Amino acid sequence: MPAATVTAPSTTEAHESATERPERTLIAASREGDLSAFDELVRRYQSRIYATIYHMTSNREDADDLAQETFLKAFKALKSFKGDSSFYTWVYRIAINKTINFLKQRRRKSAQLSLNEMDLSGEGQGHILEFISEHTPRRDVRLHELQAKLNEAMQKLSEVHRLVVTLHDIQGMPHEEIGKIMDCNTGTVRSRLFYARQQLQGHLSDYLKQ
Amino acid sequence: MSKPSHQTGSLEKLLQLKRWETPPPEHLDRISSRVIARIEADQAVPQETLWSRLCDFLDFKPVLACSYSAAAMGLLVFGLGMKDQVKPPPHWGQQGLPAPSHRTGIQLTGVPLQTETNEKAASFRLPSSANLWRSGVPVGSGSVHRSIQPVVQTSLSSPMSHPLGAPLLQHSRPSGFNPASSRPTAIPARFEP
Repeated sequence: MPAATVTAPSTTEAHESATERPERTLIAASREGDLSAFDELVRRYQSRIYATIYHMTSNREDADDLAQETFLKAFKALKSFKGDSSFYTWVYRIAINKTINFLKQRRRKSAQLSLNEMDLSGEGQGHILEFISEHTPRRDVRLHELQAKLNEAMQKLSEVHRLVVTLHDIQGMPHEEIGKIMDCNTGTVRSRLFYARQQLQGHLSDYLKQ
Repeated sequence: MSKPSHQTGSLEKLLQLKRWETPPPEHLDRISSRVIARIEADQAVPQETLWSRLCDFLDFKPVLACSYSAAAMGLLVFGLGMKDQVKPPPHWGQQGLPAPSHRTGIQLTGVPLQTETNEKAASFRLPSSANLWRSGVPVGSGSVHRSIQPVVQTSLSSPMSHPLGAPLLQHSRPSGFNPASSRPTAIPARFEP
């Protein structure tokens, strides 16, 4: 059974089209205080930043607040951005540091589900239906219950392991990019991913049986 | 063997489903608009200086301001009172060691002691590097002396440059000096003009 090739709706968000201003231009204008340029930067990356924070916190309100805090800090620290890495990686680091600090301060276990708020239109709906009809071990299991168990299992992971799973398995980011964001090598990323998957399989063993 | 790999595939697909857990587009638009609004609000607020914040704080608590000012005045009066009571030593600021320079010379004049302890006085062998003088005559390096009376002569210039070799500063033998000791004790410097 070939793995379903799922493309996240937001992966094309960061690609600059011909009509969009280049990222360097936007950064330089934002440094000069041009809020419209920074607004364009925010709109370019907010979906992925929000999704990462949401999958880490499993809480929509917390993801809202942390995403706003991330971009606020990015704007204030924009003058210190030297361009060693891409702006996207730099903002991601800010978001992840803020999220991990938040999770350490408030160990919440309220895995608030948002499956009822999912965008079930178009491509996403087809993949979900395919998954349910072919791979659900118990036919009577409800999709909400499965997603609840997955979120619960995600929350049992440590912050770094949850982050690796979020960035790689959910958002489809390559190991090298994750290593840059987490400031570690790809071997560490792979080992953390392997361990996190093992933990998730242990928590979801009843639902993943054939 | 195929069970774990199949479970891994199922898990990956299950995780990929979370990609569609996205909020509606208008919700994301609210994030950007709120970020810009907060930036504008931060920029609209003028940056307060430390002095203005201190003034605001003291205006808010006048009792605290009065107590601070009373404490400051008390410290000022106490300091002025202590200033009159504390007097410096009589020779304060009039004497002192000259600044070290290569032209500064120290002349030691060795005088045999006329006491009984002189008989038991230890002998000193001067090192070859010692630049010592006895009564205006340089003491030869390596010579053996039974005792040296520590009369210290210090001048700003070389001792040989003085026409009479008279010491500019000279002090007598201190009480702490014990010539019977095999090792000369530390001599407290006490200069007389």
